[in-house]
Amino acid sequence: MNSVLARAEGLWKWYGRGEGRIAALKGVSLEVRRGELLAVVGPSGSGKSVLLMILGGVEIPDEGEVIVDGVRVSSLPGGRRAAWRRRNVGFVFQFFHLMPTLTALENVLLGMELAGRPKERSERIRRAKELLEFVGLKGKEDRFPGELSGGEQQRVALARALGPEPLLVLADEPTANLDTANKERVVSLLKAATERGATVVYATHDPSLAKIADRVVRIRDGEVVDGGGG
Amino acid sequence: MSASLFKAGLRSARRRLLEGLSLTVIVWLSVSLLGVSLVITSNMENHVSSQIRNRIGDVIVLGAFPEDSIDSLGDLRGVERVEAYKVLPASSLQTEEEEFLVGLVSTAYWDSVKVKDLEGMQPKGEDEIILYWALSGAPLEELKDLLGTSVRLIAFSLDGEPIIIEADVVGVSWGYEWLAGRRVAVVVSEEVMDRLTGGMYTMVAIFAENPEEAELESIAEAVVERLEMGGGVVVSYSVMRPDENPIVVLLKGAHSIFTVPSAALYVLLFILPAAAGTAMAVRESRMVAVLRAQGAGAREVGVLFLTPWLVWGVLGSALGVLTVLLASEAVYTSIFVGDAEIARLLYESYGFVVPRSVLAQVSGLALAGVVLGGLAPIGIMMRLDIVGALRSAELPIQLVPPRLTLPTPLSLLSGFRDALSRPWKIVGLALALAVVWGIAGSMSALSAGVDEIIYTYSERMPPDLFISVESITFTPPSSVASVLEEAVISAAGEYVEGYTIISSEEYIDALGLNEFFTLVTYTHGNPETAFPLEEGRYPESGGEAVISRSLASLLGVGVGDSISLNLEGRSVVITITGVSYSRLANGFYALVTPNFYAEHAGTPGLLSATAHIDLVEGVDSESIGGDIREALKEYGFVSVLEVITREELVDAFNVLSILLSGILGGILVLASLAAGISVASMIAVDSSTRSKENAVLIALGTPKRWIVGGYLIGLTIAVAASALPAYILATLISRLVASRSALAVGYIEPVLDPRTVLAPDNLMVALAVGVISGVIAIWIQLRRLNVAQELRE
Repeated sequence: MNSVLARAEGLWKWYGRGEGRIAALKGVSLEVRRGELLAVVGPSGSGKSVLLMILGGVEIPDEGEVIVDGVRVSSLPGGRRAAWRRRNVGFVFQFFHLMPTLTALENVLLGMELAGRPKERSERIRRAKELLEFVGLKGKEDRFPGELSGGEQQRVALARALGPEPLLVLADEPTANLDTANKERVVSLLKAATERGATVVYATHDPSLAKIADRVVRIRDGEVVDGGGG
Repeated sequence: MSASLFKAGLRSARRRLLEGLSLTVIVWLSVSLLGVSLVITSNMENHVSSQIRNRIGDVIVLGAFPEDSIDSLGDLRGVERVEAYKVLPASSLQTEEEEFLVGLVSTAYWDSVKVKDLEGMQPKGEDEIILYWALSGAPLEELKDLLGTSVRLIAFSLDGEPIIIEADVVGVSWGYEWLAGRRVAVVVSEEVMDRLTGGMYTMVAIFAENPEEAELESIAEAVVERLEMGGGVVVSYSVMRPDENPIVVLLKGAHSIFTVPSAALYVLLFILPAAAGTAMAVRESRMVAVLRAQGAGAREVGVLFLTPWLVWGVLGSALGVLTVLLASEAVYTSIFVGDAEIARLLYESYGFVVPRSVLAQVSGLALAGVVLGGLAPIGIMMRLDIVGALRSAELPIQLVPPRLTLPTPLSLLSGFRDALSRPWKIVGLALALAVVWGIAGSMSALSAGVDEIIYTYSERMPPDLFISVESITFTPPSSVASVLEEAVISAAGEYVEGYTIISSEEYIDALGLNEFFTLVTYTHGNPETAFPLEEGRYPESGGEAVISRSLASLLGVGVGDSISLNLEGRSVVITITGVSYSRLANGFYALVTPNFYAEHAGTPGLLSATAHIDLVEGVDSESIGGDIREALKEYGFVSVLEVITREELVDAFNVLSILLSGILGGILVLASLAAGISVASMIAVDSSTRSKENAVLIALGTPKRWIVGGYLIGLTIAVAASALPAYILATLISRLVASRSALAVGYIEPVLDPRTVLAPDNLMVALAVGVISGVIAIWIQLRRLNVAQELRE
């Protein structure tokens, strides 16, 4: 069994104030093992996205903590958390969120440039091209996001996430805005990424897309109902 | 649908607080600044023209008039009333330390002055006087020290007999009006005045029944005829039409220094809604697409998007109008009247009015700018691809960034491409910053113009000393110019290298440029001292003239060309024989032959003259000036108006330079504030359209300073793009200020060299305004950005 890469312990997250306060996470605990493809499955509003944002250090929990590769991420101050994120987390979002003013190649390069990994620019370019080829976009390197289809944009986003070889790739509903063919293709790529050594956690509301995952964590109303433990 | 959209617009006004408040503040600043300037100008015009009319009526006749001749005017048609006074325009007042050229008025005349204050008491006997001065201009507070002292008054009777009066100053008085045509006047008892005038009246003021429409020329001719028939001697008469009052024209010119740059702020009122509105159109294009899919047209979309701007514009306008109503009188009192008691009396006599037309003008213009700016983005919204907008998860108005690249981090490159792919943003920012750069540039252009004058008089012009004299009697025993020459030669002959003694006459609007124009000739010495030639030759026959360099530049004329002058209703054409770099009076002059001058302005040198004296190097000009002044005392009928050294003249120009910079600098500070708010608002709206991009960058771990850097690239491009509009604006402002203030401070030829206008200092002002306001806006936006929420939506 692979070792634990990330551990979330007793995560609580509230939104709003006073009587209108809503708990998005209610004491969630889970483990992520190195090199696995972990699916977090649950209906809309169950807390999947919040969990991923906390695992990636974008948000901090109101209670509980996240430890990734021995680093207490949720205790890091803002600036250091951003620096940690640059090097250790790759994100894939539901709405792709590519930089509209950068080409496909530049979007992939952006992640590596921020992480400073690889060090040499020529090596970064070589790797970006190789990743775009991996996601099936060879020949479309110089296209802006506006010139790509939704599925193509999501594959660029995946290449961007994989670029700096982060410890953890977090994909939040990466297939929600795609047609069936592209959905399957993106999930296959996530699986392929783990075969290249990445650890991937993806959130989806579609149980059928969780079949390919190594492990599934089910979440409902902010609580893990199945599969949280290692 | 429109009613619902109007309601939605009102709600969105409440929601878009940042850009709304920005617009409110800018409208408020613009309306207040321009409104207060215009109200002050309007009141000053009214006060000055009213007090001038109060003193001299619609027709003034000067001379010597027996009481009977005055009585004969009572039944003249069109005449409401006649006031006759005993005043003498020139007397010499000598204290222990100084000599003043003063007007001389009787107590009856002084009593009729409405706006004045008195410390001390009224003169009762022949040896008691009041010293009066008008508050306008440089402070004369030190005259208060003469209260209780003894002075010597040298006056001339109408027969030309010198009369010396030793008197005690029993009262000091100050007010708003000039008396007997002088800023300083001495009030004497009726007995003294009768001794001087032989019981004759010297000034008759005619008040017409309906001055706006009356045939004032005809009335004047009838008055002169009756006075002469009654045994009076008429020396001169003038008709004062309300709209031709030279002082009023002068004030309008002076206030253009405030009003022209203030009006430039109005550019921002269009830019902010146009640029920020366009960014909003991008941000809210999906909502527009939904509306249009439901059948909304330009009118409905316009209602929705214009309403918030209009709400904030009306609020700013209302605040501006309120400020104008509340602040105008206080500003006018403290800055332009300078004495609360005098101001109270002034307003009691002539009122202080905030004209409704001014309020309507400044607020209407502001709202028109806001509406026009707000309409600009509607065109973009109407060109929206509705189907695409409704289907896309991204912003429907897709950008096609240029494929330009820079060797910078990609997060900065992204900012660079974004700036280039949103030209409306760059145009909006550039125009806002151009207002700041333009006002700063106009300051530089005008300051450089004054510096040119300072350089000319400190380095190039020969004269070291300027002495102006005037006869204090209408019947001088000899020409004042001759006396001045004698005094110069006798007191300083060995130190003088050259001199020109000139006579001059001022005309209002002779060139049709709303300017002071000086017709000048020389009677003694060599013209080269006062009027060194840049090209051509001096005039040799009537109709030939040397003109100033500034006039030649402004009109674009040179040697051999002809220009037309309007000398008090007489049209005269002069041919230019030469151009001189000398500057005389207010900058525009024509040096003509003495005969030509005599034909139009009276005998040159008879009653007044000015000597421009070039002294041997190393001589103390102040001391020589003192010697000449002493020599002139020998001629009792001559009073020295001014002795000015080169250094003092240059200092006066330095003061003008500081004053100009101070006024424009104050307006620049307000313009910077307004432009800064505009830039901050535009950046804030723009960054809100890019909130997802910023959220992604933050999620990926991009340092916030890099994101700010991306915006700074856009701002830098905007600053660079603002150079051309800034230059155009600076040229417009400085030319308008220069030509319109020609009456007040003299014509200052602006230096419109781009290196001067767009100087690094001015660039830095624009850059600082852009960067500071931009960084603050972005930083606030980034701090408020909810990254997780942005990425989820």
